[in-house]
Formats: sequence, structure tokens, C-alpha cells
Amino acid sequence: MLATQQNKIRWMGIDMRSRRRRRIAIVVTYLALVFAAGWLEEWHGDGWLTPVKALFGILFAAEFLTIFRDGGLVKSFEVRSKPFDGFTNYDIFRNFACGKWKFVRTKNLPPGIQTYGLGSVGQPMDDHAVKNLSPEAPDERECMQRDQASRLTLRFLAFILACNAVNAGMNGKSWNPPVEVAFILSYLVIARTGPKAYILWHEPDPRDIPGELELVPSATEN
Amino acid sequence: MLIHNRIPVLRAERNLSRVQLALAVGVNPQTIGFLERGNYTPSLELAFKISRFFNLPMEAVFSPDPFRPLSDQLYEMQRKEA
Repeated sequence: MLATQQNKIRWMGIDMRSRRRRRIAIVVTYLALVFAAGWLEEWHGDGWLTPVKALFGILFAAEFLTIFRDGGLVKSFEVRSKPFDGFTNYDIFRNFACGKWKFVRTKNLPPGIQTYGLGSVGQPMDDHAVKNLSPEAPDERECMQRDQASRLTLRFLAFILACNAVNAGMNGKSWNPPVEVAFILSYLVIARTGPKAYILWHEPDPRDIPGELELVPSATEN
Repeated sequence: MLIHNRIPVLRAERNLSRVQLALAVGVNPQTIGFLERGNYTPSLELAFKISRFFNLPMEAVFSPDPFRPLSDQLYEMQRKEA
């Protein structure tokens, strides 16, 4: 599920096709985030910069600046629908759960149907018209990989939440806002970055796989 | 359960690249590679699309059992006809 475009497989100018480099980047990023969480635990704010604001800043950095950036090294997890392009290909019945349909003008209908002069009629959409063939979009295999990574992350998160709850219950810890903020930061970061980290950790180097797996030039390079 | 397929043979016969086949069936080229190496079992929809693309019945492209080489099958058929 790695990006297939040459410009997206690089992070800070470094070619990240190598699995070793990706693993080092994951370890370094998580160490930085653990350090940040530890700092939040000890720190009580400084003027306008409160621990909650710092939490959002660190989350922003983890989400948009690190190797876990959406649409960066790993393809975006979201399957975006095509933008509105007029009624020719407008998927008007999708919201009514009627499958994939489009309006076809009379002149484009088969001759037998044209004679009845029905006007524009709804017709099942052509597969190629519906399918987003952009190399940025995940296909069915990649969606499966994404779901598997998300499931594993949720299990891991549930496990550490349970461990922390048991630990807090046994030790009778009292409410300590900086500590709670640090915990929330950890959980949010794991929830957001865990699936991508799993994919980046396990995905082999595309160059190690024999066959035609060369990168595709991005639309901007054409 | 591993589903065996003849995609590499059919693709080679038709002189098609993975990218061409991927575009025709609406997946990313890597997915064709995963299918060919047996690392991924396609959905029913994708299996139908690939079979239709090659204009062959599903059982000619996908099988739960390993395929015999096409040349063996063809030679045997020709021998029976003769």
C-alpha cells in the first residue's frame, strides 16, 4: 500500500522505498513522540501555551509532518468520490442505495431504445466511469490491508487502555491533568499513526519484488 | 484458501503488461503482481472482471487446485482428437 508515485515515496528528500529506512524513521518518530508525551507529563504550561494546546500541536505534527502523513508514503486511507462533473456522469442514485447509475441522453442510447424517445434515462454506470483509477486511490487489496492494520491497532490500543486502567485501579492513582493529557496524546497518536506504521513496517521494498513494479510518474510531472 | 490462477500465462500470451491489465480491471498494478505471485485471493467481482477481460470462463483462469501447464493440456487434447 506504499505510494506508487516517485514524488510521494520520498520523505524530506530521502528515498523511503527501503524497508530498513522506513523502520528507522518509524522508531525515531515514535521515540520523539514518547519524549514529547514525557515532557507533557512533567510540564504544567507556560503562559498561553497550555498542555492541551501543546497536545494539539504535537498531534498536528504527527499527523501532517511525519512519515505517517495522509497521502504521503502510504496511500490515503480515504476513498474519495469523484468531483461533480455535470449530469453526464453524476451518480445521482447513489444516495438512495440503488447502485451505480448515470443519466444517458437519448442520442447515446442503443438504436432500439432511441425509437421510443424516452429522453434521458438512468442506466448502470460503466465500470470504467465509476472506478477511480488514480494510482493514489487504494483498490480492494489495499483496502483489505488498511482494514487489517486498523483492526490490529485497535486491538493494541484496547490492550494498553485495559493495562492502564488496571494499573490505575490497583495503585489508586488520583486525577493528575498533565498525566492524563500525556495519556490522551499517546492514545490519539497510536490510533492515528498505528495503521500506517504497521503498513510501513511490513511492506517490502518494491525493488525486491520481481516484475513490473516500477513507480509511475505523478500527474504534476507530466 | 489459496486460489491458483493463470494470469501470468494469459498476460504473456496476449503480450500485456501488468499496468495494462490493471487499468482494464480497475486495480493498481501491484495488485496484479500480488495475484500472480499467489499472495492475494481476489474478490468475486475482480475474478469475474479478469475472466471477462480474457474472454474465458472463470474456471479457466482461477482454480482451487494447481493448474497443469497449458502446453500439456493442449498436447493431450490434440492426441485425443487424432
